[in-house]
Amino acid sequence: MNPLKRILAFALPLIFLVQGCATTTANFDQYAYAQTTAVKVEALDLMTHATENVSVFKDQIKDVDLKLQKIYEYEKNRPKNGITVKMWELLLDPEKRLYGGFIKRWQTESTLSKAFVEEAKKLIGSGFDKVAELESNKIPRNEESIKSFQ
Amino acid sequence: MPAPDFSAIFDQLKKDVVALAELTVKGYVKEAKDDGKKMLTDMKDNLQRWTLQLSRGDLTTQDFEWLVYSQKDLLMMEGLKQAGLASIRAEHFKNSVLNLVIDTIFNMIRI
Repeated sequence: MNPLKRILAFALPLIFLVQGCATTTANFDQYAYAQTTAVKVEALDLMTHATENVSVFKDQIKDVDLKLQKIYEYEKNRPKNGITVKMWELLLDPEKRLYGGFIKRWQTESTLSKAFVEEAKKLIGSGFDKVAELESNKIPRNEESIKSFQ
Repeated sequence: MPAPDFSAIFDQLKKDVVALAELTVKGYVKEAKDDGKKMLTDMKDNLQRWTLQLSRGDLTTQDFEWLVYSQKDLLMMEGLKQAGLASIRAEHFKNSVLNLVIDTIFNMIRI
């Protein structure tokens, strides 16, 4: 067997073996990252108004909710993106104490205290950050970025 | 072209893969520990501040309870984020092993 054939006989099975292990995470997605950070700003801005009567902000609540549902649907349809989807579900669930729960409480109580709103904003903002942080750590499609990893 | 020494190539690959695995795990463990420590510090600071606000009447007991439960939900999000990062690390490791195999072989046979 000539040397090139021997090299291929040695290297190819190894490469296929490693590549054959299924990809477990989605690739980095610029759109998902940009939408997450943008909707975070809008959600926190809306929360600032929770010291006022909720009835005035029905349209804004609906508007932000629609944007959140859009990004959630987008994330849900990305392959191998289960962890990010679970994070969004926690953030949006009205029975949890994150964004969904905050809006539910505002709608139930009409107005919320300034101290509570400010504290809740810090926690919920950090929740959005966690989704964005995970996205920004995903592997880019660019092969050069993969090669530069140490 | 002289025949390549496959046992030398394989020994080199084994050493490099082990070194790469150690580096990857070390980096991940440090990152996870730092994140965990930061969360605990933040939680302690939050509880102290909320207790003070509760005693001053700035927060109601319902507010206080909501925030503490919120912290619990945030911990769940942190757990998910760490699980996601671990999975990404594994993916990076897989890609790095691939590059290592290719680079090592090319270096040893001087392509």
